[in-house]
Amino acid sequence: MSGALSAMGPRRARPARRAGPSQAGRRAATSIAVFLLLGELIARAPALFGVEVPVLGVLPAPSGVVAEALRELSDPAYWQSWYLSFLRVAGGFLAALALGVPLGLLLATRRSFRNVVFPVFEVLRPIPPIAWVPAAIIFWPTQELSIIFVIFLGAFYTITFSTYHGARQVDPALVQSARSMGSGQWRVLWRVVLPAAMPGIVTGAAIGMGITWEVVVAAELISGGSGGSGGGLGHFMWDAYLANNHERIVVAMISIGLAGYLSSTLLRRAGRLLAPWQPLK
Amino acid sequence: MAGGAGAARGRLVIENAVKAYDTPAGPALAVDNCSLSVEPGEICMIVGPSGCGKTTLLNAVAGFHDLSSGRIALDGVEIAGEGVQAEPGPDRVVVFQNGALFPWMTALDNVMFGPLAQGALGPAQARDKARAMMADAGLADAQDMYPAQMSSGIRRRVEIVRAMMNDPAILLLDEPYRAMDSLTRAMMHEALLEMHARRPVTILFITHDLEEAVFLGHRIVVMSARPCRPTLELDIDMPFPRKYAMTAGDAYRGYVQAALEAVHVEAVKSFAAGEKEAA
Amino acid sequence: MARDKGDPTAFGLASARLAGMLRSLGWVAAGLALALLFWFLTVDVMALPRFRNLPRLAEVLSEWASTQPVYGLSIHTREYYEHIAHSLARVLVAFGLATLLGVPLGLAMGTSRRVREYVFPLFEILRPIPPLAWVPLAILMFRGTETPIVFLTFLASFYATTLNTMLGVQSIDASLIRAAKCLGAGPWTMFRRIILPGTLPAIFGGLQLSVGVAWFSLVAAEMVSGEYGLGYIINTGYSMATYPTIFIGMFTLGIVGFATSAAIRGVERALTQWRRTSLGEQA
Repeated sequence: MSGALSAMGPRRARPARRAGPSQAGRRAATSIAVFLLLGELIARAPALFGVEVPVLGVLPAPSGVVAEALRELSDPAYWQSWYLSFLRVAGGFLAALALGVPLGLLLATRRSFRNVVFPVFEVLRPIPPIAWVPAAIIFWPTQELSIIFVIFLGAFYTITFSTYHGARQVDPALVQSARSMGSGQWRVLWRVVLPAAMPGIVTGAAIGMGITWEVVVAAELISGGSGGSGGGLGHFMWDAYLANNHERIVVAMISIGLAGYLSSTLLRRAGRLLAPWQPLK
Repeated sequence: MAGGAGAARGRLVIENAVKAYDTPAGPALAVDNCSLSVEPGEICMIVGPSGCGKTTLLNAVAGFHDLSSGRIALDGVEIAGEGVQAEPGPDRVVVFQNGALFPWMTALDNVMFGPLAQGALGPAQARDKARAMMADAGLADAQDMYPAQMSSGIRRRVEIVRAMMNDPAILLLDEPYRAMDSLTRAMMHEALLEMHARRPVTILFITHDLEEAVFLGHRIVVMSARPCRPTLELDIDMPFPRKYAMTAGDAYRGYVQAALEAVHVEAVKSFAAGEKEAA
Repeated sequence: MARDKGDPTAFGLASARLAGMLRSLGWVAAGLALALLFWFLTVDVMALPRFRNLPRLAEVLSEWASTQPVYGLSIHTREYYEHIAHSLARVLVAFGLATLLGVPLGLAMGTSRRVREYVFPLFEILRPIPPLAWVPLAILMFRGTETPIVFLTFLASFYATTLNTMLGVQSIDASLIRAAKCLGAGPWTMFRRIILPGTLPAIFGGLQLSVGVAWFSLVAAEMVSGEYGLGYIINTGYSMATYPTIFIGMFTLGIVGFATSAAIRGVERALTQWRRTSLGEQA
């Protein structure tokens, strides 16, 4: 490729690589297939090769997981867990949006407010939401509320920060031209700063959603595990563990991952509806 | 015609170059049957309305993408066309619009990069040559600075020295001074012409600034609206070395006027077609 | 190099930066004071019903500082530092492993389309599963209590580091890559002198995120199944109703977490001198 180039004659064309989305799809399918095949072989190793694979040998065979999944799909209790977890997530997340977006906007636009409130934020931030669970349980009257509170905390920081950063990046020229056309302060906030910050808010919300699912599982494990109100996917997984049903554990894990992925995608779709002026990437 | 001793390399021949892109709405033509020749040592200015495909043409010469049909040859060697894999190389270095100095290297390291990467020079030799070339260009003070610490004018000049270190056959400039104020730009022009007087490399220079084009160029090629092809070629018959005093003269004004008229026709077509400006 | 009268001196720069730091420290102190005041008011002074169960601020602080703490944990007790050391060690091991594996993988996925197309789909399928959802499997797979905790922490950290590194490679200015190709850089030179230094800022951004996420997962893991550590303190404080300990744990967590992030920022600053503009600002 390198080296003196001048008098070497015309460069030969390399054989055309059939690049493009189909090749990417084929490669993805290949690696997933290999992964599943390996999983199957490792799980069946004792029967097939007479040897127990350390660490990974504990994992259930993909075929078993699929069978268990099919069984769960027809079990109403399974869907009940989805419902309960989603309720908690929705509650905490919406609360985080309702408080976080205005707070982020205020932090971005009012300097005095920011100087006072921001440091408190920064100091409290390294404390993971999970660490708040015991304090929350002491504080809130019902366990349900404490779980939702912790979920709220998980998303709240991310949403506030993304709103803050999104609003800070708004081109001051936009704000100034709105002002010069006679808009009052609140109007400017509502009709200029907020829409302009929307992409940042949506991204932050999507990330916050991921954290939310993380927290809901943990909160359900911690509080549900000690005989609390129970229900939800985290609880479902813990029960599977106690029942030593490895396949069901994996089904629970996949369900939780799926739930998180679905919520993030829904959020991004909603974001695109709310900000249709964004050029499609 | 320009050139001096040793300016025998750098002859660029573009023959019926066509570049089409696949879009959801069908193939879109960016360059349509464009033919152009550039003599060794010549400074050839390419002007035309925004978004007309000039950069696409330059990128094909640079080797960043293939041509759909036609051919491009540099000193008799085909560098683009059917059966030829497009590949960039140090014989045709590009200087980019927004600058492409490596931010994590000092100016000196940037300038030394080419020969070292190609294995053409050892570290000590590369350093000596780089120091000498930077001193020639009046940039000795900037050697140990990082790009973030330099002004944009200095950055662009360092980038040109970095390109020239590789003794290219042709230098490809894609609106390099676009983002600068006119004072800085005037100094860049002087620096470029000074460098060219010392090393008469062939230069292919894209710009939308007609005054710049007339001031710097041996020849101006006016490109049509998208898809681009040459509509007018103007030989600038003003003597070198060019001085700013010439911009007050009638000859200069005449050339600018002629170029302006030719570009204007194309710009109107472009505007009517709703061309988005190439960022 | 000749210097103008207008150029900042080294001393001037340093004192300006110090003044800036002190100013922000001042604000932090003010904000902190405000938060503590809020706590004091609601619990001690106004004794609001909702807040009745919370320990008083004075109680927590005196406990934290006392030489004979009622519940056995203060800055003067040995156990306190043992717990900190346990948590810190776990985070460092998990974070270290995640960095060692994640940065090369991220670089590979960012640079080579082939690697990315094979590996990234698997990565993205596993990523939505929160690390904490791995608790049961981790307990089954690994013996003892230490390894599962480190594994969970590693997972969280690994995802963040790999993703950020890959995105960092992909966000290198395309002109820089093209310029390097023009100048004759082969694949190895491209990687060593362009991609690696160019991705460094993004890698460090990812590492900061990664260490935060590591603490997050670690505390949760310690709370669920652990015998030492700050998460354990917090959980035990709750289950044994020694409430001031909860808050001591939380405060300590905040401080230690902040310290690790700051350490990473320090390393980044040392390694990326080239980002300083001539005024000493970050480019």
